[in-house]
Amino acid sequence: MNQASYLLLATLLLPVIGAVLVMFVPQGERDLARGIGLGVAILTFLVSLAILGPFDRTLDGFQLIFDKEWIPGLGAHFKLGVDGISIWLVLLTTFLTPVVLLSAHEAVTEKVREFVAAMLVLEVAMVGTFLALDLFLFYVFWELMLIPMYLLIGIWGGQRRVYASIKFVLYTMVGSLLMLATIFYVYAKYGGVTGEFTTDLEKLDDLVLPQTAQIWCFAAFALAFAIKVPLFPLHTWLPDAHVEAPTAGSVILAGVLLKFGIYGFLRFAMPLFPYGAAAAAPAMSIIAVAGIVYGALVAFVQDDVKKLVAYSSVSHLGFCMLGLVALTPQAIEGSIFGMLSHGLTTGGLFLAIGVLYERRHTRLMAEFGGVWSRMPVFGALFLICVLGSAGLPGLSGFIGEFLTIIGTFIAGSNTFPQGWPAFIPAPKILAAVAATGVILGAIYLLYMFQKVMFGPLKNERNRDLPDLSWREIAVFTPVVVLIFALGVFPHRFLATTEPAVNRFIGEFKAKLSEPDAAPHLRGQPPPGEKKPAAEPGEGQDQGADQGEGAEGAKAQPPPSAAPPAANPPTLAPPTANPPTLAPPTANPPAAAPGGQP
Amino acid sequence: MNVVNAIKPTDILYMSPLTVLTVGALLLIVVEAFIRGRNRSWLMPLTITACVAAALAAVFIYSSLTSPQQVSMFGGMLVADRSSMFLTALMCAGTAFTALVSPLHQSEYDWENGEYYGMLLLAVSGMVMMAMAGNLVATFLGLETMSLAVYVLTASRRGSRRATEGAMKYFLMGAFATAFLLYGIALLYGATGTTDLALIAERLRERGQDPLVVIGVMLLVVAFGFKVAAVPFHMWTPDAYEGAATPVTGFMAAVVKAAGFAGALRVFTFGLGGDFVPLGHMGWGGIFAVLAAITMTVGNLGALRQENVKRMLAYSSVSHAGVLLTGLVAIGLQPGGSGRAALLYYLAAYAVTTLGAFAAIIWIGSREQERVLVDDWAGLGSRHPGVALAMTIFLLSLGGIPPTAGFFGKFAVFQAAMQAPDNRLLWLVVVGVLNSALSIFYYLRLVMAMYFREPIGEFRPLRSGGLTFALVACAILVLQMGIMPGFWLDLTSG
Amino acid sequence: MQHNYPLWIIPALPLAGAAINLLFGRFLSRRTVHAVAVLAVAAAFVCAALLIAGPLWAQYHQWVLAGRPEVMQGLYGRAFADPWIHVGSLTIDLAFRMDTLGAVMVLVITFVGLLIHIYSTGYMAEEPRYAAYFGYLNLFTGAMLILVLGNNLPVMFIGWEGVGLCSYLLIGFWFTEEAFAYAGRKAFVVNRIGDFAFLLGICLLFWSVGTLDFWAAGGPDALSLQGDKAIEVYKSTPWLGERMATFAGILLFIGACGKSAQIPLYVWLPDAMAGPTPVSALIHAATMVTAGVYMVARMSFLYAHSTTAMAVVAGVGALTALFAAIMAFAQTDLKRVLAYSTVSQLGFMFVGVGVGAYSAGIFHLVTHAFFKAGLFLGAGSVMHAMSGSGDITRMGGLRKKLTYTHASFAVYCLAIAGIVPFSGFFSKDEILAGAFGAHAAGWIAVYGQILWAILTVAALGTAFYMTRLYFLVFAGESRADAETQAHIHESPGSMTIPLVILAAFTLVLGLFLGLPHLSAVPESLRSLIGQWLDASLVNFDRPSLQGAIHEAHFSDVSLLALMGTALAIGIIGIAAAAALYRRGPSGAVDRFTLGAGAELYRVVKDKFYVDELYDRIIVRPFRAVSQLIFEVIDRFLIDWIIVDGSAFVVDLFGRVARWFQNGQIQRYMVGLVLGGALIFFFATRTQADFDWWQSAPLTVEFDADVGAGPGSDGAVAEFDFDGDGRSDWTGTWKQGEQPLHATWVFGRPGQHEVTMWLTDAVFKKRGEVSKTVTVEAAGQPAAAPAEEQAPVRSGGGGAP
Repeated sequence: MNQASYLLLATLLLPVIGAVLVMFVPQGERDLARGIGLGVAILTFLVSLAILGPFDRTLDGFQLIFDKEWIPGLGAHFKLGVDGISIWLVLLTTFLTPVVLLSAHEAVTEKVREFVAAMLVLEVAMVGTFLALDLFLFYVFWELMLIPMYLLIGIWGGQRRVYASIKFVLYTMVGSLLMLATIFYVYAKYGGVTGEFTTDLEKLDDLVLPQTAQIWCFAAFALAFAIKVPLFPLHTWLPDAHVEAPTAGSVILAGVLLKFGIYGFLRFAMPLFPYGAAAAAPAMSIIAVAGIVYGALVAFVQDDVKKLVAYSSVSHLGFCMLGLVALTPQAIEGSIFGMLSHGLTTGGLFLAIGVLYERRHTRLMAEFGGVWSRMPVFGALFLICVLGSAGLPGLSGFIGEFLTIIGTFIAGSNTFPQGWPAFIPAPKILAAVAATGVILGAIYLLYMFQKVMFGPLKNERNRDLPDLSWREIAVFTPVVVLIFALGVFPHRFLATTEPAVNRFIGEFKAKLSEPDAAPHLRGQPPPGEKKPAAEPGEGQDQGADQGEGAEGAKAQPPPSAAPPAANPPTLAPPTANPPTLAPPTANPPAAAPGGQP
Repeated sequence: MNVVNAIKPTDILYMSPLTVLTVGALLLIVVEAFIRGRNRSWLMPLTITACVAAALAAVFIYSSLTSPQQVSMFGGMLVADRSSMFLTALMCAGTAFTALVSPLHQSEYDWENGEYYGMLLLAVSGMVMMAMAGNLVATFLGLETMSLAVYVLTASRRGSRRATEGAMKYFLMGAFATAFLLYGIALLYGATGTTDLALIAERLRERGQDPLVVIGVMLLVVAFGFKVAAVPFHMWTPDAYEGAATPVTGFMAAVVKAAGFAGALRVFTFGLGGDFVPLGHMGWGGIFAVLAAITMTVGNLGALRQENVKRMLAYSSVSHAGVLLTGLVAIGLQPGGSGRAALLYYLAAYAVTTLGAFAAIIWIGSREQERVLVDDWAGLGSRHPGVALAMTIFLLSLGGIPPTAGFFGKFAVFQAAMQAPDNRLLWLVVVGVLNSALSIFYYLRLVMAMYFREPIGEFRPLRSGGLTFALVACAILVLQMGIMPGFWLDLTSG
Repeated sequence: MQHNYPLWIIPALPLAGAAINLLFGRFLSRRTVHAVAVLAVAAAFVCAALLIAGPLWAQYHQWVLAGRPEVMQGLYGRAFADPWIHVGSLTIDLAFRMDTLGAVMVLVITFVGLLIHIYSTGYMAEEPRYAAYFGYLNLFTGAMLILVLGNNLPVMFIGWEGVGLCSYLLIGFWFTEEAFAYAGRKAFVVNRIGDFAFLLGICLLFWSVGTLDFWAAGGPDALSLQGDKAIEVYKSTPWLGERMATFAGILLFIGACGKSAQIPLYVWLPDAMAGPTPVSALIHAATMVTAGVYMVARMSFLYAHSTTAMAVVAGVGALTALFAAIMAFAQTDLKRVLAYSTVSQLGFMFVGVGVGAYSAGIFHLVTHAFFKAGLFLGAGSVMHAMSGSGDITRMGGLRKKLTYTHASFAVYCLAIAGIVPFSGFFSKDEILAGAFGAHAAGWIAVYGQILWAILTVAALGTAFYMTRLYFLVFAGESRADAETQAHIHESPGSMTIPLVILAAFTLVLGLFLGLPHLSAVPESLRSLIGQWLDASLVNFDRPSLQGAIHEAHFSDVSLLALMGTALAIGIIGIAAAAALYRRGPSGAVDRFTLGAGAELYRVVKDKFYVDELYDRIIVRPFRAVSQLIFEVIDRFLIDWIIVDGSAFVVDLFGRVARWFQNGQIQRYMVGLVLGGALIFFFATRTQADFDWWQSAPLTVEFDADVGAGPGSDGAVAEFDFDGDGRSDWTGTWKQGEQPLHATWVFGRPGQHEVTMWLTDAVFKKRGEVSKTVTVEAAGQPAAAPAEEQAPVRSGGGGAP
């Protein structure tokens, strides 16, 4: 734990201090509160930038690890660390926070103090979630995120804010609590294998669960993350949350919160349960592609600008998800880059919508039209965000989509290490369908842009719209600059990410090639006699007989969940002994889910 | 056997908390009866002193004991070990809190009956006895002492008809449950020829099990299920909680529940525990597991639509009982495991949170109106941000959202349950977590009311140093327990 | 590592100009604005010229001396030391390459672009958003240069989309007109449809070849798309080489269809005339729309490997040429006529590159760039004079008033009509000849000749409608209203000078660059441009092509015959049009269009209702479907049924729970007692269960599951293996032993019904369970499914 690792701690603690400070500001002193908030946020950003200094781009593992024993009784550590993937997301977070704080200057005029505090707490939670290298710590931050966001929507939101906020919380809760249960499971299993009970992610990564168990664990994690992403059928909380949230909330929601889904898959679900991931990959890839098209189509028919952009997020994150399950370096880097780019472009779009909303207090496209002639500067900046989001080459959006598509296209082909099959069915067709997102994106975004900015000034109330103030320009400039920078010089970002991505893929392969046996550490499968009928009870219990549906289902997957096991060769490199559900007959229980030595 | 030999001089020392409380209780009741004049303000400090003294004694004993060590006194009638001392301290602290927040409420809704404090002490002395019981008889004594005192406390707000009604129901049901307890004890005695828990365990191990034992265990399950308000024995809870004066409700929710589990812990994990009773077909583990599931679910469902905050918290306390039962089962299935620590931690966390929440309820009440409806909380966030913030913290803790004590409590209990062999409790954990998702809804309803709605008219809350102190202390403690649970976990795992 | 030429500076200059004008234009004077813009392009032109005259020429010379080997490498230059994108096996440098083909394009773009910039200073003089206009124009030039200079497909794609963006911005430049803004969007979206295919083409090439560079930095032997190594890779892929190249070629060509307005994606170009006229000249006539042609030529090596793809390109081109020519007949708007003629001419070019006459196609691209740009600028000048109106029915008699415009316009018309010696004649003739003589493996016998026939008809049409246009605009008496007539005046010098220059080039270009392969012409002068371009285009003698394509070599006679036909066609067309329209609108034609041919006329005039068709079968259904899925899936299914539904159900339970809690103590008592009873019942009931697995042929092991704890101490298990209902095996379990274990050898393999009874020790209650056991004769069971195997065991847990 070198000195530099305290930078991470500082990034995490500064906003806390800021939040506490702000709460002591007297009620009336709005500007003071804003000032403190902005100052702290900027300071945090600078500190997080400093992380890049000691960060070693060539290492593939976690770096600058800050590790302190936290709850000895539980084996939970206060463990922070970054790798090439999380560092950019952390920077994205710390970058967007001051931007939105500045943008909210006129939008939020009541309970300013609380607003700033909520934003800072939110920042802590987000940064913490990205930095956490301990499942318990991760979960704490993960849940902590809900509260400030909930308040942001609920207090400073629109008319249906109560409905939207509770919907947001419950949706997310249901998912994440099942994840919690799974965390217990992994925790218990690891303890059972090693005798050491810990929630340290790096240690748990070595645990290999039986395949059936992996499928269920992955399912639980996937639910939590898929809701956050949000993947296609689980997305309906997003439009409501976006529409009701204040601009600042929307920007953070789209810019950072949605990334946690993908990040969760990348950091937790897939490394911990590779077999489950591999088994689920076909379904997920199809869902992701469906989401791309679905989100785009639905976005096209929205009359509320914010809803439109919200649905566009569903479409864009479909790309990220697809790239993740395609499991080629190009695709995964594409999805990571896509996350960054989406954070900037969509964030920018929401900022732009905020500008319009502050001036006209409506977000209906029909209310606008011809705005460009009144607000040329705004128009230009808005257009750049739109084009960035539509994936115009030279802007950030293109890189992510291009890499994802090409990476998906080549999945399982000879350009990828031999013996590494595609996890997704018909990668080329999926890529092709995904690529239609490029057309659709142009359709709905330009449609929106034309409705709002072009055409004659029909509406009298748009006659005297003031163009951007310097403050607003200051809000947009960094975002737009970054959109260009990422589009023209993506190499730096990609190069930093690559080692981590390669490591991810490598470990995924390694773990996947483990035999399907009772829980064990990677590379040390349990010897046969370790699991005689001495403890025959395996995972199953009376509860099932009592009709405890949830449990019965959990302990015994329907065969439908198993087919990936039916054709082992497609799932493990030829070198590995093919995993299969049929156990060596010497120890029948081994096959049972959650069997423990 | 010879009573005199059975008593060792050290016993006096080890039972000092109990002594302090009992003596204090009797003194207060008697003295109060002979003092003239309306002024009873001196009662509260005395009560607190007694509790604190007892708590300190408990702490002292705790530190003097080593982890596995069990000191039995009076021929095994009482047993002192770390967990019992922890519980003792916890319950005394809770009682002190209750005493602290009571006077204001009493004066506001004029029910300043002097015996109130005496009864508090009496109740807590009963509880301590339960916690330290090494013998079913002691358990029974403690339970009854406590129950009677609590019946009185429930009814102590004489003016209110609801209070009387609640107390009546509570009493009738309680009597019924006591019968179950007695029969259970009797049958166990018949089967094993002793009421000493340690001996019972031994005998069971020797002579296996026969129908008497099984039926006896069943009856005990019912009796304790009633005390901790487990479904389907919970039905008295909402009425009693709603009827009783708010400080008493808090007391019941936090401390009485803790006592119930203290007793259950003794009886089931010491006497009927051992390594196998809970595991067998006929064991209590399975029963409690199912009870836990039902309790959590029904409690939450019941709370969903409550307009009355006290009633809502009553149901929420029911659902929390479910979680605690999960912990109990976990202990039964894995005696060596982390279950005990988790359970004790959860009791502490829950007690602190609940006391805080009820303190907040007292705080916003005022003479005109006791403000127990959700609507009464509207706009509190803008009018009284401080108390709103505190209440939010308590509610989040009850809902089990980090970084609060409640969250870590749930976490600890469920992960202990998950470590039961063969994932036997996996399903229970799943039910549990889903339930806490469900519970979020009604806790957040209150938060919504406080922050998202406009205030309905101005009002003068009950302010008092004690109350504010209680609120702040609880809030800070909840956060501290949530962020730095290590310290508490060490205490409880002792 | 090859020498790094500063090619990046060529596109960088206009881009810099764009940056200045777009960022600070509002603070600059008009003079500064157009100075910056024009100088930027001029500088780019100069840089390009220097690079071409210097190193590239030298290299070309070397190449000629070397006896014209395979392909010339051209100048290479990368913008940054770092790659642009580098992930795993995918490396994309921000690199440029200028070979002879690129050189031609660069010169055309910068030179014509320069003229049009100058022209714009006059034409847009009144424009309030002056800076923005020039900013966009510069941006376009820069993007176009990136497109033609890119050394790999992605970099080309940057320019490809960049020009699309500029076209979007410039078509909708006067966005306050809803229609104009719509036209811009239409253009972008239609282009995107093409780009979608283009993108997939890129993916396909990367998937099969493993690189996207036309020329790898390591020189010809490194893995690159061009060069036979790539072809080997095609062959090695699961798809056979030819099919591979076909798919890639067609995908890329769809992209070209979007960009170059070919069937079926041409619909955006006519509407694109909404933009300022100079824009139409630069983007929608001279440069951008020819990008597709350039791309096909650039990928000649790819198309050469798929005669199928070639056939498609040529076929689509021919059809478009004819189709557009017909539609041009009935147009009455000056710019629309030109727009359709552009589409038609692009068709010619595609036939050229499609039949393998790449140099012919590019040659026509060049000449077309000049005369079509001229036509548009002339049209602009005319409309300038006619106070903005482009309706040719209301013009006429401008011959006298607009001297320069008229003269230059006449030249362009003759050129496009294909009259010797104007440049159009030579280029078009080369395409026709190429088509006539083309034959490639796998083509139907007379495919080339069919193409030739179609083009000839199209050429006839072209000559006709251009002449019609000419006469309607300039001949006869003016049909405009007095007010307009009063304002008719020749345009300022800034507009006329470019016209004249373009006319001059139109005049000489053909003679200079494109002399036909006649023995009369000295070898060294024949089709200079062809010789020059050969250095960059695929050479059909390439071994990997296995002579699939043979170039047409004509005898003087046949060549002369072809040229004669072309010329005759042109003259006939002109004569016919002249006969009808010599004095403005022709009565004969009107009578026809109003009478017999009314139907036909309307259909043609309404562009065969293609737009309406697309609207019906694509646009509207698209919207309808979107609306539908939003309402049904999102709103109704997910949100209403599932989300709110589940909430409702939970709430329902809540109500039930409350109802039960009605405050009556009797009910509470009942609950308490019943609860106790239920607990007792469940807790004391016996659950028999066992698990099994096969250990040897016909031998099955059974574990009677008796649970644990005193409840099971002394529990008795009985097995009935043969299904006769009687116990075949009995065992009693003692505390602390292994579970009751039975082994049974079955008589025959197959399904057996096994029953077990368990009598618990406490209440002596007897539980029964039956399972079907599958026995296999061969030792190990393949895999008794996991469900069967998971030993279901009672006890503890949720086991009341």
